[in-house]
Amino acid sequence: MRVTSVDIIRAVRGPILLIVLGLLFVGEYWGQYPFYKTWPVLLIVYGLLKLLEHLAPDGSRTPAGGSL
Amino acid sequence: MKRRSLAGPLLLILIGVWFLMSTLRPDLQLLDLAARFWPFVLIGWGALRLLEILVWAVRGQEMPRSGLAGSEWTLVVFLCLAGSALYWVNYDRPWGRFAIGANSVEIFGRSFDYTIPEQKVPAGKATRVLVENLHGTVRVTGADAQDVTVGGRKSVRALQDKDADEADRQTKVDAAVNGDMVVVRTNQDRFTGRQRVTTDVELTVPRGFSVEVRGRNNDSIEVSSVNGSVEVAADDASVRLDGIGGNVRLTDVRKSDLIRAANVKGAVDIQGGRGRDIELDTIAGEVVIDGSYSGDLEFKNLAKPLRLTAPNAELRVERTPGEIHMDLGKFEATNLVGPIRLTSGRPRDVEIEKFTQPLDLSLDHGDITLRPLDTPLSKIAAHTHNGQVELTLPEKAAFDLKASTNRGEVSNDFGDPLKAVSDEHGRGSGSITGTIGQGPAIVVQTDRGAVTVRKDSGAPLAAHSGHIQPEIEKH
Repeated sequence: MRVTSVDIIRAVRGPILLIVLGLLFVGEYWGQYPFYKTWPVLLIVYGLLKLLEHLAPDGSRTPAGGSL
Repeated sequence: MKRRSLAGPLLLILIGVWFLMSTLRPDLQLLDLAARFWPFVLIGWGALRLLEILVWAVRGQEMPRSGLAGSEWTLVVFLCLAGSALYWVNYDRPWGRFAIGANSVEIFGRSFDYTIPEQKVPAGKATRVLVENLHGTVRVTGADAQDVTVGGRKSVRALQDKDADEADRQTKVDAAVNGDMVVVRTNQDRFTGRQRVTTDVELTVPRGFSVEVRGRNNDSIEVSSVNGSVEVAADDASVRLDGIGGNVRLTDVRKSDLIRAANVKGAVDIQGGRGRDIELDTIAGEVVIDGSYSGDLEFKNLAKPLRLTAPNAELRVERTPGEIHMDLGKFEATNLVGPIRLTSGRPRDVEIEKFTQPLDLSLDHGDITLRPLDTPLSKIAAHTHNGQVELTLPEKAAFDLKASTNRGEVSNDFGDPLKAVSDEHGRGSGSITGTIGQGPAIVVQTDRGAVTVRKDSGAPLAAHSGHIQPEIEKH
């Protein structure tokens, strides 16, 4: 079973979004950036990860969920 | 082999430890910790998953379809909601009195106390003082002095000393002369942080000064022993005034537990408020109250007219040498000088003892008990839609009585020369009429309820209730 970079990017998407979410709350509580101003960062990060997924060389792309 | 993340078990352990600590060491303020640090749980969780995925990738193991399963995202959402709520309750409360209980302060942070350094401002040509304090108490006392002295205490609720110190630094109390006015500001509006600053400011001013206080959420505003006027505007405050030489105006006290004024030489004007209790004692000027008050209203020794306008009641009394006590369901008064006018749109029992000058009373619902006591009598017009009427008239008074009910019993306890007339054993209409000498018209009427007329024996009013001796002439 070969792991493609697309698989990795797709797999790390959740954890990275979770970390960003946590950072935004930290920015609210410990810094000067309230969450209601910074939430679009989540969209941007999500968009970037999707973009990366498209740009990455996907080798033999397995159909989504086909191999689990 | 199905791979499982370590995040789930670790999260469980973390929660378990947290609960264990909060039961074993209640002094650690763990709610505080949770409120501030929960976002780091998200970060740690994300980092752990990331690490796991990278390790799997390096080992060439199969990747999960998504880094975080749907159920995990649900948990994340719950965590965010719970954490935000905790933080919000803890630090972001925009109002002052979200009282979870007295312990909430202990749970959610500590209170740091500071003493406001005493400042003396020479009054010079100033004749009045303006105090601006958004949160906390204000106490102004007049004294035989030439200076305005400012002092007091400040408390900051915060988690750490340095936060509290910063809050204290940014909210220095200013006192300066500006034209004919000494302006004292507590500057809480300048403070940008989240900590809550409460300033209890105490002033001593030259006795001739006028005082103006502007607040927002003030536990209490007290002014005493000044010869000038007093003006108070605050959203939510208890106001206590004593020994005021000039007029008193409470223009914008929107909410109050108590408004108390005693020994005021000027007029008292309370406008547009909602609150609970009002106590006015020994007021030389006119008293005007316009607002809605749900508690006890007490007026004692008012030398000039009292005018009260409430959503469901209107009262006007020329002078009150005695006292008036009223609440939502009752109006009791002794020793009033009329003309007296009272209308009430809500159920209210009215009891007035010892009054002179005309009385005009109109109730929607409630019993009326009247005992003018003094002779000669004045004109009385009293009407209730639903309630008993009890009238106690002095033995030697002159009057022209017309007491009637549309449905109810009548009892003439006064005896001759009054005549009682009743239909159908008290189920129909009835009346008591009669004239003694050349007296004023006394008209009391109820649409539904008993009518009783008594002869005054001079005993206290309450002693009358309970032993009615009907004396009805059948029609």
